[in-house]
Amino acid sequence: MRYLVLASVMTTAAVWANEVPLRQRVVSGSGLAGEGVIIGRAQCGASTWLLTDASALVEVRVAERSIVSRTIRGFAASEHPWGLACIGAGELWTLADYRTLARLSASGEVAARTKLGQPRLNVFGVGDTLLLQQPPGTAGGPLLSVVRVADVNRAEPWPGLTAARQSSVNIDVPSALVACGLAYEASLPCWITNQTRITVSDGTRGRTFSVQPQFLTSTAVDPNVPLWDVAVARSSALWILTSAASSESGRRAGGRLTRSNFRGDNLGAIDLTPRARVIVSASDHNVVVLTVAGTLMEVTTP
Amino acid sequence: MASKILRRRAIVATLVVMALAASRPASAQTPPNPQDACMSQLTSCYYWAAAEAGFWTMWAGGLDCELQMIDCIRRAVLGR
Repeated sequence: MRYLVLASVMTTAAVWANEVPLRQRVVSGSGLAGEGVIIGRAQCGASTWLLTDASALVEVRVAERSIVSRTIRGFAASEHPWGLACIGAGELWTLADYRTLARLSASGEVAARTKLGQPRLNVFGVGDTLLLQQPPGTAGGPLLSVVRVADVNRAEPWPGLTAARQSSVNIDVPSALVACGLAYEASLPCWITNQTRITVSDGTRGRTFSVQPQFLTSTAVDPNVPLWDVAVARSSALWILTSAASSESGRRAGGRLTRSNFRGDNLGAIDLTPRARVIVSASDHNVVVLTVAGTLMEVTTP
Repeated sequence: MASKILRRRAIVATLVVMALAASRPASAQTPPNPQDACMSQLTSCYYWAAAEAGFWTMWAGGLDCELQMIDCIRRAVLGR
């Protein structure tokens, strides 16, 4: 019994020792405050791209802490773009509608369109491939499939996230919607919007990890959308932005940023002021987020 | 055929209304479920589609309603 107590104290002390306070500071007062809803985010080299429903394609140059916004031209009035992926040597793709992929130029023009054989709900990018979210089919079927631009209708399943059994009475759309965060190389974190389990995968079953953040039970989050954003860093570190339990302006946002690992431990956390809309970049020891005030804020470990 | 589709949509609309009625009232502590407002829009949209003239217009209107509902929920839970 004495050994058990000692082991328990030592384990707790070890966790405390690993849990370090994080620091936040505003690094740039950008001009992206409340200009529409961000409907897609993609990272390409040194830039992170944001697509908004106000027809803006925004490039955040992280090293320069600068933001350049361009108006998108070329979508039809009936098209409602959703999602953003950056693949290969900087090709930007979005879903122009449920059955059409559209390639965007860096200047914001629709450069090409490709028809899809099946409707898709979202698009993400990893390496030189696109990840498409399909509507849930049979229970246990994959929610994400991977395609190449050369043949968008030849899809392979992406491991990890699967469709839940759909009730014939209750309609539950959020449990079928997938969000993905920022990847490190080919390791992409994705999750179902109303769940707390994160799947990190590079597309192979052997390197697909399921992460259940342990600290979420003790954190006040919006239960409808507990995870707001996630980024994978180089040394298997995970930055997890959890939603705030209440919204300040009627719009949901990320309230608390936690540095974690693939075991889901809390290695340090901070309540963000102002709250965060989206993670823009992440490395082992720092993260840059776009805040609801339109500023870029850096969070660092000591 | 048209009456079958209308009947099915009427059933879905009724289920949606029942689900909304059974849902908990929003409180200051519990954030509103993003699906609720979108479902309410779906019900109104189905009524609008059912009132359209001609089978194909009703059918296309109903499909539009469902796509709009998915977009509404997607915007609420995935929009940043």
